[in-house]
Amino acid sequence: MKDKNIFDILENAENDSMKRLIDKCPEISDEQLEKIFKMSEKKFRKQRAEKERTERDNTIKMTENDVVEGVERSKRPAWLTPLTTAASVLLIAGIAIGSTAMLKRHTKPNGGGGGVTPAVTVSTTTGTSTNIVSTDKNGSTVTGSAAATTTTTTVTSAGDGSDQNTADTEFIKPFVGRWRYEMSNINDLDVPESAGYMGTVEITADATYIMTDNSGNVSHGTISNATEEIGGTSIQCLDFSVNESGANDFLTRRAYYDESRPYELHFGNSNIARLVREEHVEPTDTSWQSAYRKELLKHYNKAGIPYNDPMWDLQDIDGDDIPELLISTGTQKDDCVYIYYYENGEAKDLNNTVQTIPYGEYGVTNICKEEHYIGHNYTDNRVTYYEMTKLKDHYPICDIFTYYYDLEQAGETPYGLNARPVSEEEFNQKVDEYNSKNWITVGRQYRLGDFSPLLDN
Amino acid sequence: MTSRELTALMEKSPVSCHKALVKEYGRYVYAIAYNKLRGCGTNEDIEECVSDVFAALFMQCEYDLSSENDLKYLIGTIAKRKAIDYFRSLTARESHISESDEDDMRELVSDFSVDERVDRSELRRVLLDKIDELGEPDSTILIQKFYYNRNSKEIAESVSMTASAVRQRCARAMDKLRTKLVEVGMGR
Repeated sequence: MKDKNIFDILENAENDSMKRLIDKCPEISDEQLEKIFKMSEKKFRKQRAEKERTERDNTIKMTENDVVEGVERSKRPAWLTPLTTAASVLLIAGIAIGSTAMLKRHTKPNGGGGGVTPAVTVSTTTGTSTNIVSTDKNGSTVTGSAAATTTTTTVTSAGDGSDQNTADTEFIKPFVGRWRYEMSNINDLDVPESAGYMGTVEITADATYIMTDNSGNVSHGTISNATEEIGGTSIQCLDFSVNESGANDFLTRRAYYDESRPYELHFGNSNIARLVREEHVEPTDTSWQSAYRKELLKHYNKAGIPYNDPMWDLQDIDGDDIPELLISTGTQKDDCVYIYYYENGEAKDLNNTVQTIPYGEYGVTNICKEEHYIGHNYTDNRVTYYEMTKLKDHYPICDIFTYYYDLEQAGETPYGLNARPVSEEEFNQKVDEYNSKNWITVGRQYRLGDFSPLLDN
Repeated sequence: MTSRELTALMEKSPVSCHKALVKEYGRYVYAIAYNKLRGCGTNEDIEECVSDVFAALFMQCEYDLSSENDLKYLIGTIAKRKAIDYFRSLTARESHISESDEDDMRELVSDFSVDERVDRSELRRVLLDKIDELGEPDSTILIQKFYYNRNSKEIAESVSMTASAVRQRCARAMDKLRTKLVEVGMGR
C-alpha cells in the first residue's frame, strides 16, 4: 500500500477526528490569508449589494429571522406582451429624439443660462478666553464672559445668479483645483508614511466640491467661507457642507489653511486628516528612520490579531551605527521577535535569509552587542535547544545545536549541530561557547504606535 | 474571539473585523474545507470555498451576533455546509445527488453503506491513535506530509527543524507507523 493511501482514509472525517486534524493543520501564510480575505470581501460586497438592491426594489427590509413562504400566482392577458413592447419602442424613440433636440439647444454660445448659483454662507468665528462679543440675528450686540468660548456669526444668502454672489465666491479662488484627501491610519500625520489616500476632491470656482472616494463613490457639497481667530491671529477656514446624502465627506466640516503649508488644508485641531494639492509631492525620505516607520506601520495595522501585546526596540547588533529594528509580537511562549536591518532605503527582514525563524520566545531575544550575536535557548523534558546567530554585513550565520531525548531512547545519537549528529563533547563545547557570551535581553522597549524614537531625523 | 468582541470590533470597523475573523479562523475553516475537498478539488477550489465561507460569515455579521454563544460552532457549521456544496458541484459530473440534508453529509460524500461508514470511522480513529503514539514532532510531520501534502521545507518551518531533518524523521516515523498498523491488522 502506498503511504498516501493510508491517509486518504482521513478524508471526510467526523467531528472527533476532524478536531485532531485541525490541530495538526499547517499554519496558513499571511499572503494566503490576505488573498482569502480579499476574495471573501469581494464576494461579501457583491452579496450585500444584491441584497440591498432587492430590498430597495421591493421596499422590504429583511431581518435575520424573517421567513418567506408560499407562491404568488398571477395571470396576464396574452395581448399584454406585444402591447408593452410597442409602447417601450415608442418611449425609447421619444427619449432619443427629445434628448437630441435638447442637446442642440444647449450647444449655443454662452449656453443660454441654466447654471445654478449655489447658496453661499459666510461665517466669522472669534475666540477669546475672557470676553465674548457677538451679534444676534437682529443685529444686537451681546457681551458676556466665559473661560474659553467661540462665537460665530453666519450670513446666508440664497443664490440667484447675480454679480453679488460672484463676489461672494472670491474666497474660494485660491483653493480651486484638485486635492487628495488623506487620513492617517494611526491618527498622526506627523508620521508621514501613515497618510492613507481616501479620495480626490475637486474644488470649483462656484464654491462647490466633488468628492470621489477611493471606492469610486462620488458625492457633492458646497463650501462656505469662514475665519477663526486663534491667539489673536485670524485663520482662513473653509466650511464643507454635508453631501447630498446628509453625511460628512470629511473628518470634520471645517478645514484650516496655514500659510506655512500652502499645499494643505487640515481638518479639525487634531493632526489626523487633510486635503493636499494633487500636484504636491512629499520629498522622498530614504533614511533608516523612515524605512523603520514604514515597517512598524505594517505591523501596527495588523496588531491585535495575531499580536497580543506588540512592542518594538532599536538595537545596533551588527555594530554599523545603524540600529536594527526588533518587533516583538507579545509575551506568551510562542511570541517571537522579528528583526529588520536597513539597506538601500528599506527595512529588510533578517529572517528571510535563514532557515530558523523567528527569533526568541516570550517576545524577547538575547543579543551580544560586543560580538554581534543573536541568541536563544530553551530546555524542556524532551529537547534542549540552542540557537546562536552571528550577524555580519547583514548576513546571519546560524548555529543550532540540540539534544533530543526521543532519539536517545531510540538508541540514536541524541546530539546534533545544524542537523548533523555530533558527540556529547562537541555539543557541550558549543553550549560553553554560548554561555560565555555577554547576553542582554531585548525586544520590548517601545509600544507599537509610539513612533517618537524615529521622528528626530 | 467571543461574539461580544466581534460585535464591538464590527461597530468600530467592519473591515478590521472581517480581517480579524479571517486571521483567527482562517486555519480552522481551511482545515474543514480541505477535509471535504481534498480528494476532488484543487487548492484553488479549496481557497474559493474558504472565501465563500467568510463571505457568508460577513453577511451574518451584518446582523447582531452578540447573542451567539458559540462563534466557532457557527463558523464550523457554515464551513461544513459550504464544503458540501462545493463537493456536490465538483462531483456533479460523476454522479447526481439530490438529497440535501447536511446531517447525511457523510453518506452524500461517499458511496459506503452504513456498515462501511462505521468501519471507516473506526479505521480513521485507529490510524489517528497510532499516529499520535509516535509522539511529536513525528505525528505532525506525517499528517502534514501525507494528509496535507506539504513538502519538507514547509513542514520544517512549522516544527522548527531543518528540511533534511524532517525528511529523515518522516521516513523513520513512517516505518514505525507501518509496523504499528500491521500489529492491529491494518496494512500489510
